[in-house]
Amino acid sequence: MLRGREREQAALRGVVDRAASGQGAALVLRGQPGAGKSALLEDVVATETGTTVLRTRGVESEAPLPFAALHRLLRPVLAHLDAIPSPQATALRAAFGESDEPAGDRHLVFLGTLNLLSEVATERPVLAVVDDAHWLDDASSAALLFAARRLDTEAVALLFAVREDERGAFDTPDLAELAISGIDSDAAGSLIDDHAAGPVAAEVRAELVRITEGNPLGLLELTRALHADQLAGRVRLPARLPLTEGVERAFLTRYRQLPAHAQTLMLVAATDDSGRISPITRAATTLGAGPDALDLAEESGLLREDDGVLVLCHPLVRSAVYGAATSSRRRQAHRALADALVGTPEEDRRAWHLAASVDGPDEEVVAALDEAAARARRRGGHEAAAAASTRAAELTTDPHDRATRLLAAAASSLAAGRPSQTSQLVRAALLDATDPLLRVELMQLQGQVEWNTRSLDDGYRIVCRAAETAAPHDPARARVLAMLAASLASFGARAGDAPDPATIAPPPAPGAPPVEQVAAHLLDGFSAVSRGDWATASAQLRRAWDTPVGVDAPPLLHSNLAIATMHLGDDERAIGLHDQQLRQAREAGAVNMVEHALTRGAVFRIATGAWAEADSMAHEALLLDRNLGLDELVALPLAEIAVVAALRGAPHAAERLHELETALEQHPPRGVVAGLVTELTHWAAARQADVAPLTALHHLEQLRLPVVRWLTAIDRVETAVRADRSDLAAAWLEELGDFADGAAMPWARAAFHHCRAARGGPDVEGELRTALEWHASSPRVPARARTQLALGEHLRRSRRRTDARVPLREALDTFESLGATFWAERARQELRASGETARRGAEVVASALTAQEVQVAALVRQGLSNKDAAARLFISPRTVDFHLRNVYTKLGISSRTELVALAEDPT
Amino acid sequence: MMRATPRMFVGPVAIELVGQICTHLGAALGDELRAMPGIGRCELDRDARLLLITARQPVDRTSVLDALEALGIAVRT
Repeated sequence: MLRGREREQAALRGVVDRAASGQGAALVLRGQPGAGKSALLEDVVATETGTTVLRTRGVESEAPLPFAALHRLLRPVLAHLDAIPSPQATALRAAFGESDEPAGDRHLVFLGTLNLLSEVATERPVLAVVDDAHWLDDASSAALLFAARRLDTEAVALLFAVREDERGAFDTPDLAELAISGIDSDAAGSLIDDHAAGPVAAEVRAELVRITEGNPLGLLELTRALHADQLAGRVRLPARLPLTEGVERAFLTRYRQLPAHAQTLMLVAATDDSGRISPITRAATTLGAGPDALDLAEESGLLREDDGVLVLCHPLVRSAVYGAATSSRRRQAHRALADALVGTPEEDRRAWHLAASVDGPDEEVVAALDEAAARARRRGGHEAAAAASTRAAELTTDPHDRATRLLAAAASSLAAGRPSQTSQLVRAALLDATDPLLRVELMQLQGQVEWNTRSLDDGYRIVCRAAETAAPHDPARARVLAMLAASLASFGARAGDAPDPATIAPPPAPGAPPVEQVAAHLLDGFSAVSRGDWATASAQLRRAWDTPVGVDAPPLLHSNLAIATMHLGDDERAIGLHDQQLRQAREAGAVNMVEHALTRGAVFRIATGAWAEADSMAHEALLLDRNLGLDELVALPLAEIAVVAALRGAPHAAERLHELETALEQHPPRGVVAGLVTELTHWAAARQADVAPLTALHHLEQLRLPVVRWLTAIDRVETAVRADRSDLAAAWLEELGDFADGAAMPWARAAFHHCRAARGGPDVEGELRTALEWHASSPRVPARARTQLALGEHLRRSRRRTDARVPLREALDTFESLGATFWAERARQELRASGETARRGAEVVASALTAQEVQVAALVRQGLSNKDAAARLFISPRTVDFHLRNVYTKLGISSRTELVALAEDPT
Repeated sequence: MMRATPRMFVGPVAIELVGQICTHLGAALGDELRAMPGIGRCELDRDARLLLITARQPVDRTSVLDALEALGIAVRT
């Protein structure tokens, strides 16, 4: 029985009971070794009836085996896989090695884990118990933490036991924790009496409690280790020992009392903590352990057989026994285990035992590790793949082969979302790699880490160097890399010591394949953007877009074809390309690409006035980032949401800007996206209600990126005029004129004429009417309405009240349809001033749905089932159902049909 | 793998260190590691807290970690 644990037992019972009523949660039991975490988990499982109990534990030697612990947890309920969305079921099967299909995006495995638990819980509440979570393999840990953070509405209790001093990958500051400390002195005294070999003197009992701080395992083992005279206080106690060391020493004393061949079996069992009897006994036998070794080990109490599995009585036995062996004995044990695993399905485990058994490079071992890495990669176990490739490199003699394996490891670690590790592996590989093209691949990876997650300028410098290195050997490759460098420069990257990308590779030969031509056009186009030569930029980028390339062209080419649209403000092409990216990403379940396509697609929708869509896409990206814990990405969608709110003049615009600023403090954006986020933030700040012209101007003066300067062109010039800064207005107008002439985009010409009118002059009406002619062939609807309003205002002030009403009515219609309350009100005032009894604006009553509810409602209105909506939003179908019921309540409706029948998406 | 699991290696390995390493400690670290049999090259990037060691002959990583531990340098695993 447990002594002195009533508080902890009640806490665990509370979590399980709340889960049974649909308020699922995770709880982390944290304590020192021997504090009694496992005993508490056993206790809650033993007293549990009426729930489905799933169990697993972290196993230290399984660190390189992807999803091993998760597989054990979910194995009993895999029959329910058919009930979850099929891409997730496929991903889980692949992750568990139960199918040969690639696992695809690892987030599908995470989501599949959550949804499988949720599905099983529809029959009976689920109690999932994970012991020794600090030793979970990284992939299992990531999947279980993903699920643990999303259990609010599931009938699932997820309990983790974690050792205080070993956090490893299981870092869970946000999960509820129950600290498991020592038991009180009364309970400790009872425990000592339970296990003492004779009477215990009061001062000895007090000393044991003091040394162990009430740690139950310490009490138990140290009490057992003392002989009767020590217990009775007749002989001095041993010198004070740190708890863990003391307990380990106590275990070791018991271990050393075993005959040598039983010690051998114990060492083998400690070397492979999977506990599978057959390979352990086979391996021990080859090392000389006799048939009675297992019996003797069991009799010592250090090891027991449990359901066909050998379990050491405590993990500290393992560290004590393994730690006491010489390295040569350890290697022998690993080799014997590897040999015992020949012909079993445990190939990964065998590869790692082999790796620990050798005293230098070994081709057989390297081949086994390469295969383990390939299997891990197929299962989506990228951490494990990185580990296996790294280990293979360490045992490879040839420097080129070693660097190639480190490259594979670096790529896997990037896929696992560990850019720092990627960079470290690349740096190690570069010490070995002499082949220029191998060095190029390594540098490209390193550059990618830099410009995506760290410094845009450093990333740019590295990509330039990679292009230079490639140039003499593979000009086509060099050109693609130079194009990438030029693209980064067009978004603000600078490095004085880097070569001009345009000079790195020769132009393609006449008749070169289209992909080479496109790379060259993009390179010239991006370079022209950086030097403000818009005519060349426009001509080159258009040539690039007009040259057909297949879907098999390098992904870098496709992504930059889409990105290039930003520079010319080619909204329709941009939306088309990014929507295509979004469809492909959704089909492939590629989460990062979905996020990318959503946030980039939203930028152009801000320009065209598809604000509801932009807002919805940004919210979807934001939820996705938050649901998946991609905190470093939240700033861009938040900036887009803040800009839309500010452009609308919405009542919550200030609040959105505040949310954005808070996020920028908590998770400053890095790499190539940082500039865009910062500048969108300035735009949102400049467009807040009642902001003074000088303040607005201060924000707008800080815009550097061409894409944002063009998005804000009208605001900039109008603000400069209002702030009496005609010098700035003139300069910005001239810059806009150059762009409009070069890029030949209708919206730019329209903006140019609008801004000329804003500066005043003899022919304001003529300028505005010319602007409207250009607007007619531009998709930028909000800008058109601004010109209509400006024309109406001008005509009204010129006492042509009847003429004024036509553009004012058009402007009002547009502003109302955009939900641009500030501008609509201004148009209404002008209409009233022109003598028209302006109609009242449509009452927009916010229903106060949360962001997640808005998303759920919108997807259901698009005809998605709860299951499909859950897959789209990376939550569980039960959570969708939960939000949907809230939506019904808030909107005063009672069915899906009524929701679909609403005229507009609820907000 | 446990901390004590044998891990022989040749060629370059990257080891991430925890905490600041002062110049003095960095120098001591370099001396210590270069004196180990098999280690050919040792480079410390203090800004990146990255130790790059190249083994010309097989070296056990656990001995490298022991040497770091003896100098009071923690390693990110």
